[in-house]
Amino acid sequence: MVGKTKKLPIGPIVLLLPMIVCGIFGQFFYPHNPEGMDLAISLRPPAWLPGGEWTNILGTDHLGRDLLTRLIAGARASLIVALFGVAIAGLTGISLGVVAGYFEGIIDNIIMRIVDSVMSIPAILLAILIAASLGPGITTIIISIAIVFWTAYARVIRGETLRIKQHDFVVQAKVTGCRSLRIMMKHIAPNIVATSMVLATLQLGQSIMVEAALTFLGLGLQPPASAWGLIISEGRGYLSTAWWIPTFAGLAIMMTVLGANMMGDWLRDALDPKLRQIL
Amino acid sequence: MVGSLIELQRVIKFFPISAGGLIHRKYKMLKAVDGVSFLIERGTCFGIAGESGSGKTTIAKLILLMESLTNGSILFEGRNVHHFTKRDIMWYRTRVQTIFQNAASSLNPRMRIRDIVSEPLEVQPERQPRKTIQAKTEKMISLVGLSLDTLRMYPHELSGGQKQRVAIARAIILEPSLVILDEPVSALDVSIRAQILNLLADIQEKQGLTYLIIAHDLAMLEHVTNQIAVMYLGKIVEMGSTDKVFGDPLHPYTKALFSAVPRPEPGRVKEIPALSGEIGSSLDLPPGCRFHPRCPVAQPECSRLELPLKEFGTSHQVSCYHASS
Amino acid sequence: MPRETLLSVENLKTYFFTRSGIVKAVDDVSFSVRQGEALGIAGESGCGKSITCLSVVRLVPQPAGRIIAGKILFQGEDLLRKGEREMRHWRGRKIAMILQDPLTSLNPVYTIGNQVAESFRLVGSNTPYSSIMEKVIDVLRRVKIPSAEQRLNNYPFQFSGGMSQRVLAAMAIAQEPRLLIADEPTTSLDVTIQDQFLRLLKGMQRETNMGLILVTHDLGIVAETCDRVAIMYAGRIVEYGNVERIYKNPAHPYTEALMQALPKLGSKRKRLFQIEGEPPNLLNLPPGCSFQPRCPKAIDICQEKYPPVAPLAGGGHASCWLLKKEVV
Repeated sequence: MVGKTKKLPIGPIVLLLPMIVCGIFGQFFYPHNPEGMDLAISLRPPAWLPGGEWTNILGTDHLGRDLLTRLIAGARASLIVALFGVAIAGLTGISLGVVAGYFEGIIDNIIMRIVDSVMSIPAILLAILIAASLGPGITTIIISIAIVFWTAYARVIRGETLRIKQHDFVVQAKVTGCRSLRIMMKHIAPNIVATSMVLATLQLGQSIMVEAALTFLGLGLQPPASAWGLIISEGRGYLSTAWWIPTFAGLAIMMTVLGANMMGDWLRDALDPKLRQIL
Repeated sequence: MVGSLIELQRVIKFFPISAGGLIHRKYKMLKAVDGVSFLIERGTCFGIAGESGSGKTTIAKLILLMESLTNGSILFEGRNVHHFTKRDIMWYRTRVQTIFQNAASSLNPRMRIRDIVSEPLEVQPERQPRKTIQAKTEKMISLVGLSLDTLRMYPHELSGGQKQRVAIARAIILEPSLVILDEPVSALDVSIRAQILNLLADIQEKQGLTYLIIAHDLAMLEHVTNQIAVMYLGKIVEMGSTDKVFGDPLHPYTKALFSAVPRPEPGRVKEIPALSGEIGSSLDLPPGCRFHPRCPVAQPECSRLELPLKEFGTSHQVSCYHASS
Repeated sequence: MPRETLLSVENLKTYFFTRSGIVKAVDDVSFSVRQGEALGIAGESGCGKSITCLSVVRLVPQPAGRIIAGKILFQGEDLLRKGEREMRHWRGRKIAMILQDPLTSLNPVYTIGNQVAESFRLVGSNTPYSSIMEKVIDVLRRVKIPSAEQRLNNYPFQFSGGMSQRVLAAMAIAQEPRLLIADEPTTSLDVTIQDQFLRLLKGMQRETNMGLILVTHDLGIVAETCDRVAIMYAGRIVEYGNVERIYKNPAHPYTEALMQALPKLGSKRKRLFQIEGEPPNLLNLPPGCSFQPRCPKAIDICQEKYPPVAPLAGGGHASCWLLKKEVV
């Protein structure tokens, strides 16, 4: 596949870098105060439209808060939630997946039946149920995401584990007298890193959507916090009048999810031929 | 028995294969190993030759305790492996090691060579000091003809021959008594096979090892082994000292096998026609001698009775009514 | 039997353009195959034997691989000058190929009968089903598959390795090709099955007088199946000629070393003769002759220039400076 895989994933980087920068360093370059209300300038349209001003490039919301500032602030919330959620989901799912695939038999059955049960509940519904019982807040969203997404890891990694088990070096480790824990951690786990990373990038995108949906429904972050889902939710009523409020927030979500997905694709291609070469 | 390192006595391994049935699962027996007995003496090289389905790989797995015996016994240094405690098994694992055919997949691609070779020492219950482990690792790497530089590399940086050398280093670092080699050179380039075979011979002498080699390359087996057993569909059909068996094959299967092996001798006339039919399956064994459907000299009685291995001169056993020179 | 030249490859060069450099997989290779003759191409992994065959049928993996020079004359016509559509007409019909692994060459979701019928359907489109099936049964019988009629509806997983390879052979000869290329067809087969299959190939060759190119790393197979052989190393043919002559009197040090390094049935030696070193990395070939770092007879000039082709007294040729000196 010479020449087909670009050396650097330009697309994903262009899309994701601004989000990441905003998420980490955003507070240093807010154009305005994200929570600063000024009813005098509420519902101001974006700068290039009549009525807009360049001090509020993307316009303001119904409380006079600068939209661009809120979007930048929102990036942080979305990223924290996505990263922590996916990380916890990943660790749980990978551990259970490796254990299921390595031991097979009853342990495998039990774990996979739990996976099946959780997976049979629609993700959004599950997230809502959890959020509803735990009460709104950032921790709730993280837990919801973790509970919804760990199953994908468990399934995929279990399959990978079964495949890797066939390789002679795992058999060799057993013959040498390695204990199971060591085999799982030293021999199997390092070889599933690639698959896990690909899965993680894809899930990052999805978890941002889940966060947005939960927040939109009022189960996640609460006002006056800045979060993209909140902005959309607050702007719902203004779709025909101040369309810029939900639209730009939606665009922010779309760019991030697209970037994460493209990154996942690129990672899969970049790691795959090497994978085939090595294993 | 004096000198005997490992002995198999009437070893049987059957695998139940499900053959349909909804409420009550019906099973057929895959008779992978069906009554195999042999003895390997210390310091020798014992070869098992056979094609697919012969059971040779299963025997290796049984000796390595990767599969459990259905019946029969395996005696290691006179002790029955079946009666081993967990502690005994841990000890046994340091006495018996193995080298696989595919060197590439037998090395963990994410581990450095140093860690791969030293791992057997690292997992021992009484761990030796770090310096000792390091010294032993370096000694082994040099012993197999690789430079110390190799230790910090990853498997994908090495060639096929080098990987196999690493596998050998790892196998002998525990100073085992028995090393099982399953097709040790068949995945290597022809021009390097000789290097590895010579290395294996040198190491056997230096370290006082005993080898069990499983392969289908008859010329290679003739060259390296002292004793050889030819297997077909789970049973040994002919066994004896390498000189005797290769010099004077008695069983029709052995003769057909030797004739079928391509030799770099242009114009060689093969007196024996190619064996007809497929190798057959240990799931559906024919009655009587399992080779009789393909045997060029089969007689009616061959489909009725199976013959055990019988002596035919010294150091030579064969199981056939019509064994002849 | 008439022995016209079927295929004549002249100065073929197929290079791979990769990120890490240019891989000269096939570097100035010339050979020919006559009707009814079996040519062996022997060598180790990476020597270029498979790419040579793929080049002949112009199926070199793209875009990295490209045939950049040479002529491939099949029955007088240069295949390199043909468009893809024409090549498709020739592939399968005049030149057929069998690959190494029968398990992956057959599609697991179609029946054997269906897949063999594919080889016939490509010809003229409106042949009725029943007559195609007759041809399928006929060709399966020719490759000695027992109970061919009953097995038409079997799937590949129900066939053993040897049987699958025969099915592939049947698909290959369906169109009565003039040349059959078999790339390591028996590597995954058991010894006795391999014997059966090679005899079948020879039988088929004698029946139809077709040419056969057999690619293998096993010098025993070459000795028993081929009339002439080209020994390849690092992308070049180092020795070429009559099988009998080469085995009795190898001219190139590599051929000689290979013969000596093989354990032979019936002759037990204390230690095997071993060739030092490893086959070279094609991205980093040694200067001069590619074999020189491992050659027990290398002299100074071997490190400077690649030796030219030297014709040999008994026919054929080899590329070695030692020969040039003798001739000169």
